[in-house]
Amino acid sequence: MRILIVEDDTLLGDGIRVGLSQQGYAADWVEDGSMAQAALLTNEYDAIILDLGLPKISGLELLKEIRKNGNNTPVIILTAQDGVEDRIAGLDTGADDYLTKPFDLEELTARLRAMIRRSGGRSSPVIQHGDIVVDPASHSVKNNGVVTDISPREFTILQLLLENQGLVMSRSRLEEGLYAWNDEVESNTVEVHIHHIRKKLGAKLIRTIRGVGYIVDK
Amino acid sequence: MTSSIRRRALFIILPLVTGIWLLSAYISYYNTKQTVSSFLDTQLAQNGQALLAMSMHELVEQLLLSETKNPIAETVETSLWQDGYPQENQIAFQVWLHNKTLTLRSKNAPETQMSSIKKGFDTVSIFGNPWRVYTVSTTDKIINIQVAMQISAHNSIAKSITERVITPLVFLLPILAFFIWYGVNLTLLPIKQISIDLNQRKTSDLSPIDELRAPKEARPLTAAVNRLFSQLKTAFDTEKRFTSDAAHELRTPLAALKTHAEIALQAKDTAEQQKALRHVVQGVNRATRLVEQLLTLARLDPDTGFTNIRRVDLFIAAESVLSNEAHLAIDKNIEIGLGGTRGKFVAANYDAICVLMRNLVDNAIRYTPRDGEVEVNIDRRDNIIILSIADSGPGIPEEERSKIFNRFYRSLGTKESGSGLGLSIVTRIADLHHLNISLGTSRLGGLQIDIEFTAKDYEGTSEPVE
Repeated sequence: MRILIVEDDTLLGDGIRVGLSQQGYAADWVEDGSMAQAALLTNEYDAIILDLGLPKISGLELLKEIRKNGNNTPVIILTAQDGVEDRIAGLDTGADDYLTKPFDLEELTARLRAMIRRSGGRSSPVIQHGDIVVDPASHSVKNNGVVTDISPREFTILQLLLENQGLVMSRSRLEEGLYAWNDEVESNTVEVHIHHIRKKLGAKLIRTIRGVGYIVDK
Repeated sequence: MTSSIRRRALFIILPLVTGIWLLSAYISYYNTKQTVSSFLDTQLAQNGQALLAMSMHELVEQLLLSETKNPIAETVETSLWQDGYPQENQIAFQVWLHNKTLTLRSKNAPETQMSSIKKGFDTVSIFGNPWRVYTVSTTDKIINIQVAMQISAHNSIAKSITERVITPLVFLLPILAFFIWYGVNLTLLPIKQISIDLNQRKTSDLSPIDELRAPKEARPLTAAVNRLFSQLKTAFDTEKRFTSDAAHELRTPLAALKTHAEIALQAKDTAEQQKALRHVVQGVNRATRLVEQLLTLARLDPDTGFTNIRRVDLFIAAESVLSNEAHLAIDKNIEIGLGGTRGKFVAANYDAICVLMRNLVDNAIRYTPRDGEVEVNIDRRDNIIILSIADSGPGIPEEERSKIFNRFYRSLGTKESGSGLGLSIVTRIADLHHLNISLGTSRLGGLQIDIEFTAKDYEGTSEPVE
């Protein structure tokens, strides 16, 4: 899961980035609106964490811009203002959720999970496919009721594919979910992870579309 | 004297009314006495004339009948005016022949002539009492009549008339007192109403009193109260905005602190944990600084201003500030310099001026990259002393300059974790000293801030005050 953090405060922005990577997210952090716009043009994100009090372009303006461009990535607003008006303005502009500073890192990730889940059109907290049950909150996978040991990266790929059942996910899209900018991307890793997942959950789960990517059928 | 308007009105008006009333009573007594006197005199004269007429008739007859030229002296009970006044014994008369034979007299009249005057009115003393005597004679001076009335009769008439004038006062005074009391109450009613309204207000309600409701005389008071209200409201609003700003500004550092603390808790290795904890310390330092700056700003109350304005040598103040801030410059290998000479006197609060300089120097060092330069200069141009702080930092673009004095404004892209309050403090201190601040580009390439003071010379002394 790749997350974009837009936060002008150095200490906080860095903190969120580190905190999210601890949880297995690939997190990119930018300090202002124009950098955020650039990041959104070049990468695909599963969610955006947006601070409202940004210099130059305010958080709300940026959000308006994002939505105007037809980008429906779920957005959670971070705000130092706890006034109801600010939250209403944020939600009305197109935010999916908000969090008032200071917040709990765990609450932030829980809300991110919920947002990503809803944006995938799913209301249940777990993803089910046949005998396989994936729980993003606990990062656990059950196959036929048996807990299967799975690495964080494998989990991310599995989740991405299951969230987008019936859609072909390109290799690069899956890579984006694995690595943030600072991370070193190793070649062939996606193939290696898919191979491991197939070994643990069965070869039929993920189909390879040659030259394009991978798909989990509906 | 008590400050009750009602009581004061009573205390002033009642004695005044009573005094005027008594004075007019005395005047009317005096006038009445005059009138009564002249009226009674006329009556006395008429009585005398009547008596003379009667005596003439009787005596001439007697004189003609008897050869004796000495008619028997008679006394008559005087009860001429039976009912009321003048009372018995208050009127007396004598009938004389040739001014030497007393032929007839009232019982209360003496046997000697009452008055020595030949004709007209006289006031004499008979048996120790004052009497009014009227003397009248026939044209041939044979019969001589003296009629007299006790003067006390005059007085008692005047007194009784005056009494009738005064008596109502005794009843009217309490009524007057009541009306004064009532009238004052009625006048004060709007003020009372205003005070009731004020009592019922919530503490937060500082809306002005409707001045039109107060009596004209009380308007200066309500206007003053309203003025105070509006000042209080401004102060409260500023306070409220400040507190809310401060609370919001603290939320971000707190969020950062919490995040890094959580990272430290979840860290899988010591290095990661150490890094997160270092960030926590960094965050605490920043929050501490923010709180300190907030307190400094709160202490610079724009209403009270500075009480302790003295003659301050700016150069000496700058020396002390720079020596304290030098370690920051040394840490970043920044060259720091102070230009100018001692004896640049200004009228200022020494501590506040030090805070102002410290903030500016601190900012300059903070935003100047390593191996840079910061220069403080104190120059005199005519009557103006200019404190300028220049640095070799990135400077501030023209369009951003107006914003940097805003509270909590932080220049973008700096990795420095300022509170955003330093320049607000500088502005506040400058405002309180009526100083002019201008921003420009320094010859070192960075920002230059100039602050203009009015020079304060003391009879040519150039000795610094420390």
